[in-house]
Amino acid sequence: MAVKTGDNSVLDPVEDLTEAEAPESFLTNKLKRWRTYPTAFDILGRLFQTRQRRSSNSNINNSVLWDWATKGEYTVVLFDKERTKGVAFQPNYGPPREADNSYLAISEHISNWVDYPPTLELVEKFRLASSETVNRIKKFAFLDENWDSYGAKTIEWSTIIKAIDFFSSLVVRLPDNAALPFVAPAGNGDIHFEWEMLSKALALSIPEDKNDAFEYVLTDKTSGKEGETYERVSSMEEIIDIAANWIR
Amino acid sequence: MWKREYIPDGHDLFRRAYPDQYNRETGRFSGAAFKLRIKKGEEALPVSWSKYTTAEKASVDPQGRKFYVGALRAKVPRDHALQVIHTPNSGNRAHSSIKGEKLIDSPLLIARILSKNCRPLITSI
Repeated sequence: MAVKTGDNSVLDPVEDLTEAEAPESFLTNKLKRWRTYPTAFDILGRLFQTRQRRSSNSNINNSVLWDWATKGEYTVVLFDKERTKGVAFQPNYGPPREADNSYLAISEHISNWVDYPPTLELVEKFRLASSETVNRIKKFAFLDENWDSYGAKTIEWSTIIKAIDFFSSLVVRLPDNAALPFVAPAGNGDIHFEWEMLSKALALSIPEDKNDAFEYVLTDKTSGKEGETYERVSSMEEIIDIAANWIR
Repeated sequence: MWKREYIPDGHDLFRRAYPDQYNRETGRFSGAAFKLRIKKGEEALPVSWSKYTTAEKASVDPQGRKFYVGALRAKVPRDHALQVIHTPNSGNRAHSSIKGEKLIDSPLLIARILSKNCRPLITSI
């Protein structure tokens, strides 16, 4: 796995890229004209760059192609007037892969973009809500075989991408004050998402094996004794729907 | 080889966990720490019986790496149709196993039940 062999820079979320040149990428080639706003700050108060375009698509008022303070990684965030409309993450610069939904989603919106500065409040709100979780998930790629002392499998990059896809599709459907999940690697190569709320809880796993179902446990704490519902679904769309409806 | 013994319901079973599997906000281990890696012939969750070890000793794996540790009463898995079996080996008298079809049929549900009932004992390295 290329991700594991050399470059650990994706784990450094605070590197200052104010002076750095973004590498050429599929997206930078498509977005010929850039406007750079080195005016946003990361969690530790350091500068990072944002680059953005506005879409003439009536559904998309603002958009940001966002160079995170991690070389070789970018995030595209599509905003409408009030809230995040869509988001896509990519771990590395490179040509799009046909099967990659993130690229396809981005491509749909690229052609009509024009310059426009997004509000930093929106950027920051989304960044805080998502970067912590996404960066945590990406760290799992660096776990070696037997990382849990019980013979655990490594966490495959394909599982990580699937988990990030799940989270990025879900987060835009949640209310602004929704709880963020706790995310953990499992010894069988799965990635767990867990939400613990006052009146309810949700645990679900993103399976390593593409043939495995998505498992989930809904917990209702309102009846005095915790009632749990355990089910499996086969598609990403279903598990996103279930999570979005339960967390709301 | 050590003789197998019955593990009383009230005894603790120690389970190591990777730091990323501990949720500091809730003070609980994630169900991910109780997910079975299904390998042929090894369909059991390894644990350490408190009669023959301590949480501190259990926190160190055979390679000398330190982990977090949680404790689970033997009664908990038994209450959910799982077996708790003492499975000592030459190097580890405390070695025990949680077994049962539900570990394979409903892995996430069992993982959640075990993690909810697990008392974190060592949560720093």
